[in-house]
Amino acid sequence: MAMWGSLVITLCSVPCVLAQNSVNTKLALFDKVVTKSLIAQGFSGPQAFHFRRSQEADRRTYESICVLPLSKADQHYVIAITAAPSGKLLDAAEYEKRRGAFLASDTEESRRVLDRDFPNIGLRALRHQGSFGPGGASYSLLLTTSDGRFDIRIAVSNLLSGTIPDPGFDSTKIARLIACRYDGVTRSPVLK
Amino acid sequence: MSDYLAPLPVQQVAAWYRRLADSIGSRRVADVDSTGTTQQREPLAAILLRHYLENRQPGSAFVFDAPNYLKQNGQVLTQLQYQRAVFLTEQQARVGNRQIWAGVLPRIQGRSPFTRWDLTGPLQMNYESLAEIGGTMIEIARIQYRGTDQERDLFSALRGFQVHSDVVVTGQRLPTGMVRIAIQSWTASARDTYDFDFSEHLTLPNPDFHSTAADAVRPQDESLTVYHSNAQRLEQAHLAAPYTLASRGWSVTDARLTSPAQVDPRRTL
Repeated sequence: MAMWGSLVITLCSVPCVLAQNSVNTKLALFDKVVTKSLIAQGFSGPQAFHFRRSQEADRRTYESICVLPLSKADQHYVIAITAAPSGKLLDAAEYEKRRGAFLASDTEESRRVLDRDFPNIGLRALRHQGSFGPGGASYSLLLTTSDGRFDIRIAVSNLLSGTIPDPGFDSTKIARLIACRYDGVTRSPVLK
Repeated sequence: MSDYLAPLPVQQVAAWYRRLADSIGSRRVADVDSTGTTQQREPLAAILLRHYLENRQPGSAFVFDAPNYLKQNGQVLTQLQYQRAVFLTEQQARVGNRQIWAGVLPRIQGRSPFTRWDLTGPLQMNYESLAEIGGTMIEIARIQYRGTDQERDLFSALRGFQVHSDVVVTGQRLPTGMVRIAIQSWTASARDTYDFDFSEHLTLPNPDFHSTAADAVRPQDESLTVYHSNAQRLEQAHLAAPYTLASRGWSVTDARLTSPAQVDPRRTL
């Protein structure tokens, strides 16, 4: 009986494992999109940084840690780009609800917020104004690829000593580059 | 990166910081309580920044309601687990740069500097230890790619803070010679100082981006580098002041933390 139970569990888990492997394979596509050279284009000038990619469950992450002469343990400049199946990072219904509210109010301020927080990148994009405090600042830009298959999150967290120039990472520029490069990769018959 | 706030009149700088607090506060954070009920609440980062801008008494105390995502944060729970071990004399307490045995056992044994506890009545103890949200570069990166909005809020607003605990325990000598310790009550709170290191700076989205208001700061810039020397200007002009913060205490009821334990009163410390 125990053997049959084990067999049933094994058979049931096979499709889950296959599905997970399929997601991982699809997300690996972003290795051609989010590269170290692409991240380097986001900085205002030459900037040394450690680049690492990793996969956890249904998310593929590209982590960039700037190499800077930090004077305190809490100082940092970190960029984390995450790719996941659509709906995992950016809820389309929530996006439409929020955007719809600003569209409906049609004031100068609502038009400004629409322009600022809903940039025209990919299928949809949303900027989070982020957070600020003694611990540093963090903010992010979310987008769904133009074919609606994947969500991307570009998050920046920073706090630096006054003597260190800001690396000036432009998350909007990188979001546009990712969206553009993704479209190029997925439309290429060789790399598809 | 230029310090665009530096040449502006300090009143205009204060107004920009207030718009920053409003911008952060415009996005609500989901807060789920122990019954599973979700409330949308203003991020702690906005509440604490706004109080900084309203405060005129340096060092005054600000008491706030701890969101559930603070009470249930993994780093807070780790500290509460550690504190339980300290109260039960299973782990040494960190006091300054030293590590010492504290909790029930030195009190049962009447070891100096503790007052002997003869188990006839309840014993009150308190202790606090540091919770660090994003204590390492790897952890900061994890919070950015894997963390939640709630964790990111705690990271910016508080980062490192003391988890303070007040406990009341009772003791009962068992026939085996062991002493059974029961936790009668446990109240925890988060404590910290809200202040800025004036030598630091950071970059964040500009709340005035594309604003047409007359006092808008660099409306053409999507992001702005903020030097904390501007916070110093605000404080010198009495338009902001650092403060100590403490959350209202919450009852620790998790059975993994409050379950009774047995200690050996003969154990050599």
